[in-house]
Amino acid sequence: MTDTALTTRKLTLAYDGKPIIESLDLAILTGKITVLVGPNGCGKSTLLKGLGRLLKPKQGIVYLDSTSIFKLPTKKVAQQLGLLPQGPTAPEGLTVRELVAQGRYPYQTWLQQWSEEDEKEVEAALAITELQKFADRPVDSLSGGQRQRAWIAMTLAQNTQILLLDEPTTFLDLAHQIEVLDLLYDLNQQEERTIVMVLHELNQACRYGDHLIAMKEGQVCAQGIPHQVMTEALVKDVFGLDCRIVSDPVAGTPLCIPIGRKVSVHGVV
Amino acid sequence: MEKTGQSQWLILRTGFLSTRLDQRVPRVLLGLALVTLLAMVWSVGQGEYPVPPLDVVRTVLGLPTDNPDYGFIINTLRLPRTLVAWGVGMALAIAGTLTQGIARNPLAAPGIIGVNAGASLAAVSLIVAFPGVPVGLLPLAAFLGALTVAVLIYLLAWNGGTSPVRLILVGVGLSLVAGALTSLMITFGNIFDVSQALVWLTGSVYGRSWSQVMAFTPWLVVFGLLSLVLSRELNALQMGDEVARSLGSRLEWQRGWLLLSSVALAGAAVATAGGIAFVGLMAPHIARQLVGPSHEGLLPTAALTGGMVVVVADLIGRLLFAPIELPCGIVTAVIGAPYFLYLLIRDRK
Amino acid sequence: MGIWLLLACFVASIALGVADIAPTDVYHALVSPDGSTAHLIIRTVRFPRSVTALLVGAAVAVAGAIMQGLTRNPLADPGILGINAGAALAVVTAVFLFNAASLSVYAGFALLGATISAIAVYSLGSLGRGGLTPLNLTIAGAAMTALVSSLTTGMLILSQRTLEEIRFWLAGSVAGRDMELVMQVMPYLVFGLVLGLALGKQLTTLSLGDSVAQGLGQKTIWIKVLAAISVVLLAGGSVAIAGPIGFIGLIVPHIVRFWTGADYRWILPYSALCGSILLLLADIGARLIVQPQELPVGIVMPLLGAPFFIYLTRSQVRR
Repeated sequence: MTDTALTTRKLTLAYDGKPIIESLDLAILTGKITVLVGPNGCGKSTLLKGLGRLLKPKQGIVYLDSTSIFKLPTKKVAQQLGLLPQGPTAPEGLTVRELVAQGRYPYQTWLQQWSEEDEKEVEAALAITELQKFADRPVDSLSGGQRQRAWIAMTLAQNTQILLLDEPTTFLDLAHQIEVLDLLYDLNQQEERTIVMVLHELNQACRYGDHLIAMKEGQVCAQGIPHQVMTEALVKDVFGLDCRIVSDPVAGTPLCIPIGRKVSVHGVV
Repeated sequence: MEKTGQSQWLILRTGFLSTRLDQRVPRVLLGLALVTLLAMVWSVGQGEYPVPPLDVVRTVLGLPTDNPDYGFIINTLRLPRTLVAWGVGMALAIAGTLTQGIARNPLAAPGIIGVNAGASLAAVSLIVAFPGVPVGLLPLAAFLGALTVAVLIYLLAWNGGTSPVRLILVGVGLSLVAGALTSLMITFGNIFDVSQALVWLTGSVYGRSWSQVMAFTPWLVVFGLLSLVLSRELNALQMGDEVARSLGSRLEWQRGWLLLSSVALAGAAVATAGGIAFVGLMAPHIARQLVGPSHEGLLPTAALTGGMVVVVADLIGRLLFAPIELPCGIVTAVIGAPYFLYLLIRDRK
Repeated sequence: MGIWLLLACFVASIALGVADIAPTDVYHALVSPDGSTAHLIIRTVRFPRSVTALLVGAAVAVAGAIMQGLTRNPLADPGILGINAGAALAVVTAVFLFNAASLSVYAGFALLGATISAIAVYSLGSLGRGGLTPLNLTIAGAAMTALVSSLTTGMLILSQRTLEEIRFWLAGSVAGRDMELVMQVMPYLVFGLVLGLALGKQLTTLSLGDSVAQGLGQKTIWIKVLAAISVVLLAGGSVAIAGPIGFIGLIVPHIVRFWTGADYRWILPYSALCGSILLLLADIGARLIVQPQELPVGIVMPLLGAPFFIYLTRSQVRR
């Protein structure tokens, strides 16, 4: 296994002819959790889609283990790289087990549509995400957090080394957000899966991310470990927000405290 | 074959073959087949010269019966007609399931996206504009009409790729054009030819013979099997374009093949029996209620449901105002609409 | 600018045809007729026809726009939602059963048919899961259309006489309508139009979603009912005069939306304008294309309009 799972060289991604990312060189480290942060419209989702082979680059190349992603057969890529988009929808009436089973698609052929391995992987995915008792229920009858876990279970069944997730916590309440992030953290620790995710919440990004990439207007402003990246100057530059950075009393990672207009009587700006 | 403890599925595994099916599927398929068989036997026995059911079975199996005429009546006149009804119902149901899958919209049916309209236009034009042309050419014309529309839809909707919304909208537009041209034929054609064309338009299996069964069956078999093989792809498509791509699906290829199958089946069906309403819309819905959304089981179930519906509709059409025959297309519309509404009511929370 | 275009089309519509007439003559004919043949043609044939096209075009386009707003479904129009089909069924039944002959009798039945269909679709749509949602309304409408069209075709098959009498009307045409009929139906159309236009602001609010609209204080049920009444008057009235003319109600709102955006205060009046222009143009085309024969305008319109619509779909629909 190489140090970098995915690299881009001079990557340009565009929507409707408008370039969002221009000539970007980036490396995603293997076995680490990388988090993309930045304001709305900075291109983090676009970059993720480009990395995940969902967007064809206008220029430049994305390398998966030193081969261009678009030169590899689609199914081979799908066996190594899995992407969970924002707000996915499942057809009505689909059960959790059926949803997770979809993740085996890249391994199935006309003759082998449901091999023993497929079955094992699905059961393992259900076990890791603790969804066994929900396995036969329809996906739409689950709570937000459980539903997201089911989708993650699907990408787990896909058994890829690299997991790309676009805002996996955005529509969840706080408890469920932590539930999902903890799950991803466990996957990274126990199985050394490379995780790249887009997160809106800066503090969660600092706590769970090994490597942060801050983006603004299609460019990378800073990248590195949270302690290095999360500075008051950077937050001001990228988000236009005044803040104070302190140490998170629970995790020790940087904690960003925004300074707005309402400040405590006892506080000093 | 082994059946595991997973409550939902039936898993078949031999040496190099493996597949899984929702466990409701075999029971449902059997039930549908049984009802269809009964309806067919009853239907074949109906008509100007009624034939008792037991004799129907005997005649079809080639065993001797009291009345030597039964052979002719059943084997030459009535059996092919009922078989056509069954086949056409299956084809329309599969086409509808495919279209709904591609469009990810439960209201999409080949009828709405203009495939039926194209086939009808071609056939009606042939009947009205060239009345001398032999009836045998109709299926070919209708199929060409359907194919033309499908190709047009794909070409016109292509803008660096397709999208379900564009496909539907372009299909609707083309459907309206075809409808207008058909209207033109109906308004200005010779009244007798137009009457004939209208009957054909509504969908009927009256007078269908073995030659039609022979012409139609290959289409059903080839594209029906193709669709079955593509069921996994269809399942992946249902998750949304992004997830499907992430799973390694080659979207444009799949959509192309699926659209082709849908058109081929719908076109062949319309060519053989005219535009039978509602089957492509109804059968997939009913099947989904019975066996769930996974296409490995959904496709065969929808097919058998569609076949059953048309056979029963034909039977009703012949029974209701005997000896006058109502085209089965009208019956499917009349039973289809209330059924649809019943589904609507039943689903209410 | 649109108004001038409309006026030009109107005058052209009167002037062109089998016997071309100069625009100045048109003016004289209307203002100070002198009993000549040309003036007679204008007063009794061309003028009513053009007025009909103007009114019907506007009515159907606005009806379509309102339906699309109500159902939040871009594929909605009185045709797809069964109102045209219901009106047509009523008329065909009248001819089939009572051998009705005159156009004014058609009118009464058409309005009746449209009203019954609208009530039916509304009630059936409310029965679905979640109540009167756009999806349920669309499904109910599609089901009703299929059912009703079958019954109509069934009657046409059973009686060749009916087919013969009705098929020209069924194709949709503004030809041969006498002013009496137009005057009779006009109040309904005008009332429907005024009601519809007045609802513009409310429709925009409604398009944000029922919950949002109710949160803003709108009495959504009442708005929906009023909108439905407007649609029935407009669509039913149009079918009464000109037979079922599809396509305009579906396409015009889309075309207009590309220029006006999503505000119904603008969409509705511009739809009316665009609808009139479209129908007038189509009618001119219908008269000129195969001179001296005439095509029903209900046939010409999709043929002219569809290519434009498909072009718009290609360039504007991204997803």
